[in-house]
Amino acid sequence: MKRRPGGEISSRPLHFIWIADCSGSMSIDGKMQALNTAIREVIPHMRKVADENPNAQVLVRAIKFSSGAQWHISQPTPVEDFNWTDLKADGVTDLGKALSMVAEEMKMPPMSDRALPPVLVLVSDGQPTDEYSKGLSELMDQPWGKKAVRIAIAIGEDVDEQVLEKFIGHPELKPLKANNPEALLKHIKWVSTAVLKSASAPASQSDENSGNYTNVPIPVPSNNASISSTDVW
Amino acid sequence: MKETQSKHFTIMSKSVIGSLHIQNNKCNQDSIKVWKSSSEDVQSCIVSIADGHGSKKSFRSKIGSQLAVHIVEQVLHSELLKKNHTFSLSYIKQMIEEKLPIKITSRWNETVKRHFQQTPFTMEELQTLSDDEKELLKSRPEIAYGTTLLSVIITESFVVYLQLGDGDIIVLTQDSELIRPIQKDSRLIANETTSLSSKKAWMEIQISFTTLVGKLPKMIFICTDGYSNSFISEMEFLQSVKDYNDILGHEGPSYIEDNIETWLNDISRNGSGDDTTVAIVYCS
Repeated sequence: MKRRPGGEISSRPLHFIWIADCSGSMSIDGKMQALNTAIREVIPHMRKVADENPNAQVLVRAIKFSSGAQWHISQPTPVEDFNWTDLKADGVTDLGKALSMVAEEMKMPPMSDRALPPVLVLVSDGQPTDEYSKGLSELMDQPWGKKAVRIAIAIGEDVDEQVLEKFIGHPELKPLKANNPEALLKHIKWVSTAVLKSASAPASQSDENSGNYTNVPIPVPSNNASISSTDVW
Repeated sequence: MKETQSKHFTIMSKSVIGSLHIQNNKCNQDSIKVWKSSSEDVQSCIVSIADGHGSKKSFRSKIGSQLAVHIVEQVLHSELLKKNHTFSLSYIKQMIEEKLPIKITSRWNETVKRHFQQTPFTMEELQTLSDDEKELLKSRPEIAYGTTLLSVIITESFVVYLQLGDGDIIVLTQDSELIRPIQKDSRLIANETTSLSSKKAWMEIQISFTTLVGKLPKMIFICTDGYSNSFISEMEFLQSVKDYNDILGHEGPSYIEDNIETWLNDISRNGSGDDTTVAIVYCS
């Protein structure tokens, strides 16, 4: 049989980006360590989801923000090769800078038109100290930024939830609340498995009603953590 | 694979179900329809493909895509072939661009609404939908049938390319140049597409009219996005169009007939996972 017509084929890239608050307040009550532990623990689960959805090439990276923002893991890394290096907490909360840097990565190129909707996960325990709305606008100015699945996890009670809601920008999705390490792990696991799975195999959707948010059907998260006696944050 | 030969061109088409749909117990949402003239003297054909959305709300999109390819063929046939055109080509072009989109979309809407009235949605079809989604479908049942549509009509004097939604139409010219008669819609990313079920679908239909001066192009290649999305880049995808032309020139249509199903299954399995449909008009 003759070689198949055409060049190289491959699964479609699915970019998964952790956007992590590393401000000084994250060093209090073990929040930073809980986040590091949670992200490390879900990696095998992400790999399992990727194995079950071979037509999506899951590429993971992470950006951290405190005083300024830097890529913590800058290269989109195939999930099978992804390993976590612990984040450290110190500084303020320059969320806007992080969002500007993510916006740069949502441009075409480097994004391609055959990619699957990216998943952006913002984890924060406080209030932005820079002009975050500028960074958010830059992100939403990019078609891929607009169509990304944007999830936010609020750690503790000092979070400005309005900011997280603006980041999510979806009428039916609210920030997930984590007031203890177990809740944080549960939310991290949900976003890196159920949401990842949904983004890995989305059906076509009419563009009529999608507006400024993703058309990927988001599974219902298990109950958003409420205050309990085990809450430490 | 279906192969249809007329005096001047050979038409081949094939559709395979996506590996993702097999996994999720869904059927192939793509549809194809080919018509060619039976007359030896008059060369004309209509080749159409459609890609049903297959989303939770578009649970009848297979029916929608089947209706789309039937209806576009009916409309193109009645408007462009049956009518005895004594008008100038420029008039015909204007008529095509102004009237065809409305005729196609309104005919499709009437047909799906009739289907819905005769066959209302079942509890099983609606069970996974939210209350808001059910409410939406009450007022707009056509959403359940949502589909894209790509069609090419070749007559003795002109070619019309028509597209609504994602997918690709590529022309290989006599000079071996690859061109897109309809430019890619940059809005269509992240699995979003314009659709026959959209409220203003007629405004989203793109049409390209080309008068035939001399020979037809070497080949016209039409595919759903399951095919093109499987290639790592645009260049690798366009290479396939040239390769098909080379194979047709050297080995002939029967070689493609023997192998295309295997090729398309390989492409879907290792690429997009989506239903994958290709139609080729080879103008030898």
